[in-house]
Amino acid sequence: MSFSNVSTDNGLTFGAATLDNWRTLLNDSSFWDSLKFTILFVIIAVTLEYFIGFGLALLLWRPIRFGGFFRVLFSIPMMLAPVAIGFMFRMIYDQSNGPVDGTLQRIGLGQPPWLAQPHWAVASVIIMDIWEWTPLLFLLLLAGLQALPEDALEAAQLDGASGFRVITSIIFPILAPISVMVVFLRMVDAFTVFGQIFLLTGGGPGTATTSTTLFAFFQGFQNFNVSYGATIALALLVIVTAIALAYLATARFLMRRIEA
Amino acid sequence: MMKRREFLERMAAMGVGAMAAGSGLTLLDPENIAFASKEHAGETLTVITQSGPPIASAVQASAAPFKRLTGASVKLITAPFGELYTKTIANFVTGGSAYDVVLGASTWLGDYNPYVVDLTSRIHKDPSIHWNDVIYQRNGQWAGRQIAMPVDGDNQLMYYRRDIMNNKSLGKDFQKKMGHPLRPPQTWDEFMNIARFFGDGKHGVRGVVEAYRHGGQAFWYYMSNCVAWCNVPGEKGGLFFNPSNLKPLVNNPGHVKGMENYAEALKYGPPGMINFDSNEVRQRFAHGEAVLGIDWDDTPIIGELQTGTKVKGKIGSALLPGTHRVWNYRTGKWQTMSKLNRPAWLAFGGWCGVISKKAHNIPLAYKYLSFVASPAFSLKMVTLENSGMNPYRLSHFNNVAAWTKAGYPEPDLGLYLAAMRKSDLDPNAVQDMRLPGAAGFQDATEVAAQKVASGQSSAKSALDDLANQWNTTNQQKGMAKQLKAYRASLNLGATK
Amino acid sequence: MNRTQNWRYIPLVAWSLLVALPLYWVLITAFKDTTSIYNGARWLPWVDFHPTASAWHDILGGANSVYGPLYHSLVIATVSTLIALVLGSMAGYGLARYRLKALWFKNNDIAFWIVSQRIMPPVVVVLAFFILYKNLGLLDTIPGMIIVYTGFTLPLTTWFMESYFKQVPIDLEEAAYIDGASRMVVFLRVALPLVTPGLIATFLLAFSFAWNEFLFAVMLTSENATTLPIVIAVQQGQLGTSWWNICAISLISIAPMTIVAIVLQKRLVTGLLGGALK
Repeated sequence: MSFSNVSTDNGLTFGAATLDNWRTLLNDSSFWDSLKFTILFVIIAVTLEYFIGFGLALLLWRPIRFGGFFRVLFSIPMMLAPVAIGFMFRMIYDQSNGPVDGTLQRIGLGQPPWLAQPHWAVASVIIMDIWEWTPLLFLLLLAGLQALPEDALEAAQLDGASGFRVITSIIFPILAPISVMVVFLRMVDAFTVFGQIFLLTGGGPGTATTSTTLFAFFQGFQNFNVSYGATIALALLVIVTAIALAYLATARFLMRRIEA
Repeated sequence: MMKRREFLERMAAMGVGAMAAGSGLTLLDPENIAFASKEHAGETLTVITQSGPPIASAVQASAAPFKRLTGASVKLITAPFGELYTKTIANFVTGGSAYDVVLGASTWLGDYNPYVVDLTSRIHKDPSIHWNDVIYQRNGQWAGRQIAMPVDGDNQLMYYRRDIMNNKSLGKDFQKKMGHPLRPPQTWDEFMNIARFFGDGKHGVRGVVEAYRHGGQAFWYYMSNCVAWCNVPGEKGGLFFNPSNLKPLVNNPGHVKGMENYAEALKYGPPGMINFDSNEVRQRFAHGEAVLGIDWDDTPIIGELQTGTKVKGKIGSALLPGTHRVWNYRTGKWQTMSKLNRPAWLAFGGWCGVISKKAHNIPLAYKYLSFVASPAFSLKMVTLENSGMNPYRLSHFNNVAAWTKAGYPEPDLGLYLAAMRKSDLDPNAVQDMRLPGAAGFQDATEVAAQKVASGQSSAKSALDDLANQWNTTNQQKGMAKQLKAYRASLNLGATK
Repeated sequence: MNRTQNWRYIPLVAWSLLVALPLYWVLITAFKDTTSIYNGARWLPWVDFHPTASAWHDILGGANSVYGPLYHSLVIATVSTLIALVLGSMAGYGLARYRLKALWFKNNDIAFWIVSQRIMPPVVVVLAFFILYKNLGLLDTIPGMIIVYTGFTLPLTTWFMESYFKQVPIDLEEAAYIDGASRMVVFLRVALPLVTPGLIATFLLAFSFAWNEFLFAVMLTSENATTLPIVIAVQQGQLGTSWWNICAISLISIAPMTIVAIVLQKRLVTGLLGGALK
């Protein structure tokens, strides 16, 4: 579809295949802007989700009272529909009637313009994603931690290694393979983020939070420029595949170094 | 035959509007309308529209009486507003027959046109429709043919808080600071001064509330800010494209002025206004958060009739503010007006019903549209808080008792009906854009407006970009074809 | 490791508050009306706003009844997840236990190719599905939605199940083969029971996807197969957003998942554990 010119005036007709769509795409600054935002979003959100999820998993790894309660509570966000999350955060970020700004103002921290200014809007979207998806990384990493071989840890403990050293030099390397896979899974999903942002900011202000999928949706469905929408989405597919392959290759290389 | 608008003007001038309601249009109970007979028993008519309550609730309300009349049942399918266009057009272009009747936006008619039935002759043969009573005929027309039945009237108006305009001490402060009296604004300069005065919220209320959200109908609010600056009375098509060559007009100085006001007004609204859609505008106004509001006819209905409203009996309605100078796109110069230029803006053009060429039973589908648009049923709908339908017949304005009965208080009601009537009958009223791909032009405009409003771009440079985008879209769709469609939407002939 | 580590509660409680605040807000908003939503932040029912159950009347049998969509969601999500799980287990087992080669593709490449389906933005294919479904008469049908969701969760289930199977020691299966069991019997009686926790975890993740998906549902259904996320989205209308309905339906939609999570939380943790190990 992306190589043809789909017209909708007279039923669905497919025109001659051309490269026009691709040429337009390469010169379309909106496309590059959306890609820039998407990559920034993926890097920041996934990194923070990984470290927060890892931290929470470490905290709940050893038996602790109320551990089951925390585990269930922490996993609820990822079960909510993205649609619900979009609406929910619109209420949360509401500057007049939402719970956050009023409270911050009362304790003298001012009134953040959450969705109103470009940088804040990007931050708001990232915070929403962290809220929604940290649970996935938390659960998978917790599972990984519980499979750690006890003997390695005990040996380290006997050597008198500090808690921090145990984490960095023993736990972290052992968890590396799992980490690679869960980050991969999350990263790939984050690249196609759509519904939540659509409902939260509509991609705005301006195009500040227009992810590439959102851009493809606007072009293909709102404007009914179907072939261009498909071109954008395919370009994203190519880019994400390339990034994914590069990521996996780097990860394999690094893991081999760790093992060696 | 007298031209439609001339006829209306003359009627209004002669003050015979009331007669129209009295004579031919006795408000029959829907049950008694002429075409009754249960000849369609057992048949089902599928209607798609946006998810309710607005519009959808009207379809639900129509189902039972329509069944009693014709024996046919109405099956209602709804889609969220954002997806309705996509879903219906996807069904049309793929040759689907999923829906018999689509209640959609007038602005989509350019895209619907090839797939829907021409209603002209049916309407002329249908006495129960009282066609001369319908003001919004043009919103269902395409290239001179009536392809859609108007079931709603839409224009954007300005609303103000009467209690604040009448407040003596505020009036004194205002006069001192702004140098002119506090009153319902006549011009955009007065409008902006009021917004500025109340903008910091120190008087317990903000200056203005409008919609800015991408995908939240912001396009029409932005255009509200531009109509007076861009439309020389009597010239058609000054707002969007030059009708002789389809050159986009969105980056001319009139638009730049409108955009600057729109962007500045953002500062004087409730915090976070850049994310407000039209729903939010109405609720904020109803909860007393702003002195001025721009919106369709819904703001006052909600403000007067919704439980818990804080502005009942305090809402004034008027035409959008005017200007004393107008950008003339033909001469490329500002033109000074001796008389205030205050054109009405028929934003969105209202909901209207089309019948698919693939409908299972076209006569039955027509009967349905005729029923929904009938004087009696439509009057019931337009006076309801949540039907989403606003007045579009003369009889709607003339039947004041129906509004009072619904709970709408005076003097607000008088102002409201007068403003709507004035707007609907304005000979210089500006029509909304109805070009194939209108949704794309609207989308791009909302993005550009948000860029300016959030300070990412200056008005001029954002509008220059926008003009380029509009032009590219037209080129992609085919200049000649688009030009023809644009002229058809304005009911202009082919280019000379 | 018996040292008290009570400091751990500080970050745990802090994160709990961050997670709980939006959920709490959803919970109370489900009992609000316009007055309590639009007059500043209201926190406590009976204290600073009057709770009302009108949203609940509306969605449980009222004008916006969710029973139909709830039923559709349950059927579509359950059936599609079960199919994806059965097929995914078999495919995953095949990938984990047999050396495959198709042209120059080997096991790892095939696994990557399968997972890379997840990279495909759904926006690309939704229109193609629309046209295809229109021609097949599958628009707005429950089987149609089951097929779509099965297709979309299959990569996930295959990939997860492959990891679980890889983790199970092969000795048991070899012992079974020596006893003369067929491949199918080994798969069903030996391998599958060993990965039960993994099956549960995978079921939950895939179910969550099908339960919450929006784009396909909105384009491919209109009445007879609409799902809960659609009902949430349509609460935003021309004259106002029914925040209370959105919140009430959201609560209904997380209830089943939360109950399952509570019941299975111990097994879930041990189950996911395998899935990630590779």
